[in-house]
Amino acid sequence: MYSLTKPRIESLKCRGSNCEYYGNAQWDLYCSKCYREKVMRERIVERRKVPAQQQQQLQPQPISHHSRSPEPHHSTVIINDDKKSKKRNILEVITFKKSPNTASKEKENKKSQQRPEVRQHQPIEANEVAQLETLKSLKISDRARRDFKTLLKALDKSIYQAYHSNASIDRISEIMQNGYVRFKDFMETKDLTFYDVPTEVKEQALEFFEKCIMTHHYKYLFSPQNTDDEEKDQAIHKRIRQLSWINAKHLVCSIDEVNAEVRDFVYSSITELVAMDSFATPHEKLECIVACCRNIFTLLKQTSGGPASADEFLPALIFVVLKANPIRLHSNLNYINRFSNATFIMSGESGYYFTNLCCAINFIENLTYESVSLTKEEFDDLMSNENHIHSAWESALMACESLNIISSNMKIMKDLNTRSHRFDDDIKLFKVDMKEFKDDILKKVSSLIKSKPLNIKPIKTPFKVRSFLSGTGNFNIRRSSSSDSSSALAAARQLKSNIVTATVTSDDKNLLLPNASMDETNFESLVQNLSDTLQMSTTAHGTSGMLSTSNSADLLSISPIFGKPSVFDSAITPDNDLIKGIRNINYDISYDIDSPENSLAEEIAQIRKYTNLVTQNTEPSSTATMTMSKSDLEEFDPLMMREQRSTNVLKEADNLTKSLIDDSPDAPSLLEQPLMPIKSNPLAEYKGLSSQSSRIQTISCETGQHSSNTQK
Amino acid sequence: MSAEVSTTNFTFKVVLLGEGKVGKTSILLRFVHDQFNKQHLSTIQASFLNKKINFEHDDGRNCRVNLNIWDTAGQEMFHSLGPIYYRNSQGAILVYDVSSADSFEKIKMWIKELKKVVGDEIVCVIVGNKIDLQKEGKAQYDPEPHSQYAKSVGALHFLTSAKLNENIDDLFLEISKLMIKAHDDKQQATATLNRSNSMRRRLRVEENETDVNIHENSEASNSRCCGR
Repeated sequence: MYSLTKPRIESLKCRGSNCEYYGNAQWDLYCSKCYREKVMRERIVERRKVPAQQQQQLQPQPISHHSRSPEPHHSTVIINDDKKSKKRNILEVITFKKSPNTASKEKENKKSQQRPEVRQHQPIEANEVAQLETLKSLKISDRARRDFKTLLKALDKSIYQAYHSNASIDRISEIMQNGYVRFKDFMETKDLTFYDVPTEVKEQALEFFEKCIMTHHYKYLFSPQNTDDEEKDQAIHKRIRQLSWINAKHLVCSIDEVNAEVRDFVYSSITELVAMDSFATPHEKLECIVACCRNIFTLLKQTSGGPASADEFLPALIFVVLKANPIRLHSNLNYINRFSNATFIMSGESGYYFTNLCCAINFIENLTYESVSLTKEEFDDLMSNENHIHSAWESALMACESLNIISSNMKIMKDLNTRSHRFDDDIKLFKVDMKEFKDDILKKVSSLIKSKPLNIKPIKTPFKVRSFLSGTGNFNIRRSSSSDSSSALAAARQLKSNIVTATVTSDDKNLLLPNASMDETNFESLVQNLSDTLQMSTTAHGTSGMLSTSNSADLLSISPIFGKPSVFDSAITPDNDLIKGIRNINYDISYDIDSPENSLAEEIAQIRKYTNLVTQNTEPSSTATMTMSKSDLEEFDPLMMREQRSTNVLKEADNLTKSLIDDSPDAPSLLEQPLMPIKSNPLAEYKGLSSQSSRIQTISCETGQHSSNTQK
Repeated sequence: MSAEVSTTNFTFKVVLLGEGKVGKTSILLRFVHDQFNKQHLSTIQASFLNKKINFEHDDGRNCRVNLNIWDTAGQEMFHSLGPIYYRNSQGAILVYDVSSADSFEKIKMWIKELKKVVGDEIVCVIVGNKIDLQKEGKAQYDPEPHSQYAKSVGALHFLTSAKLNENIDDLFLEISKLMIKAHDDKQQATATLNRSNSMRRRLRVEENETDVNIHENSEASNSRCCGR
């Protein structure tokens, strides 16, 4: 049974407050420690032990659980906390279902003992406190609230007096009904406090009005002494027990007793119907009936495939009543009938359901062999042998229950199984993914390793590289200039044309170009000094390691380029794709162009002429930005500033780097263009890549500015 | 049932009586949801339905009638439960199947019982349903004796088809008018008491005039009714 599992599991735990141990039936489902404490307390307090079940259910804050007297709790729960008391009822239903053969009678006895006891102890103060709070929560004016209280007190008093003057229950019922009407009229009378209150609030107020009165007088007015309600309860209870052999077929109703889903609905209907007894107000009881009937309709809709008509509904309701055998049925119905607001039971959904329930009970009371289409003998036989045939539904119920548990467990197992399968599959997938990812990463890394060495090296060893560049460049150019100046020039031109198409902002060009002029003085000597050492180092490095070899190879390969432009082109083009590669080459190339300027005046004159040409070509577009660029760059690049403030000690090195980069002005600047849509940003990026690169940038920029000024 | 300036509101309870399978539920569903095939309906139940109808009454009043229509179980074994259903209702629609003579015999029984239990308090309408069967030639039916019977017991007689939606709206409109008329008559009879929508209260009124008078005087004397 769906509702069985949870309480069972919960009940394994010790019922002591915050106790994590398991309880034991011997110790009233407490663990040993809690039980001992409890017994000790009980001895001291000498209070009657409240049925443990209720204690567990009804005490939400268990900290002072053992010592607290249960009475105030019960009262508050019964009056304010519908859900709680409903819960308790569900629990009772469960006990009923657990052992349907024996439990019902015992249960009734137990309940009739428990309930009055519980209710006797309701402290009226607690009620009133709770009711006052509810009253406060109603969205009505203070005056309306006062009027409400006045009316309430008046009715309360009149009922009290009527009861104590031994008025008949019908008389009290009349008083109550009059009270409802009066209150309703009061709310609808113009110019009174309730008139402009919205309808829902009025309904709430009316409901609350009922609740206040009826909870207060519940113990007198429910199944009162001077009526035969109790005997009728007993009679119908016995009757239903006798009729326990009736199944859906007898009633020609479409309930499929074996179907699990249907049974669940039947159970929830039964639960609602049984829960009716636990509520104190007629309205709440009616709500239980409505919930019960709605469940039946849902069930019938599922079985018949459309909304159920009364022809289907009434037999189903009778079936449910027979199987539920709710206690104090007549008392409850009479209570509702007497004290519920008449409009609720005369009309509307609740009225219809209440009427149907009355019909069902009437039918059960007057049921004969004809109504269930049996012969008199069969009927009598069934009625007398109640215990024998008794078990038809109940054994089915029990069997179904265990089957249901099995099937639900199977379902859970199946679910777990599929989940674990899914989990395994996911793991496999994940493994594959991981492998792919690994391969991918490896591939990427290897490809990067393949492509990168060229990029990283020159930047990482700029000093060396520069010295290389200066050395080889000088050397090359010298050589080329001496041997074949025209071819060198052609090569340079070709190179430039290549580069110009590809590259840089005019700023950079301008920045870089003028470097030459600044460096002219010291460049030559430095370069010459370095060229020797560098050439030495290149040869040494050539064999020493990957990086150095690649560098040297790169650098060295350039020297013949001047002589053979075709080779040069081929060497450059692959690198053009890679920015860093471009940079590497730029150094070489630019160097080629500038260094001759410094070192070999004649040839430089030509080259320079060319460079000037280039700058002039580019300058017009860039003049505006140029003027700004210095400040921009200074702002953005602290390194540049630092560079500017460099000491004398570093001056030589600075000069060297400057000269080296000054070499690049034309070419790198041209090449850089695609990279530099914004002036400052690329600089920052380069800085990030390596300090060297940024340094190179800054210097070139600075000097470029300088030289551009000079150019102007 | 306070009279508004332009429209008058009424709430009536109407029970559907009749043998099983004569089409009580179909009439109800056709009227309330305008559906015949109940498979397509999303409502959970088809045994208790509300419908508000607005119309202009013959005397010029704008009437807004809220009909609470209660379906009843028509099986033979539940026949004895009828009174529980139709007590406190203002109207009864007795449905029979035009293709079944037995179902009309049941109507006669119902009528007798109604007269006995509630007398003239209730407005009765006799409805012959499933006239579409006759049109299709599946059943032969002569409405004349049934109409005469209806006249003899003072009830209206309608021939309807829930399937073809014939006469269904008319049926409910007419019964509403009759109930309004009955209501008005009753109001005149108990002219001093214009709060009469609750049968229970009306009964009480007859029992203890004094109590109700106190009630009429309203809030002033709260305790008098019980100190009486």
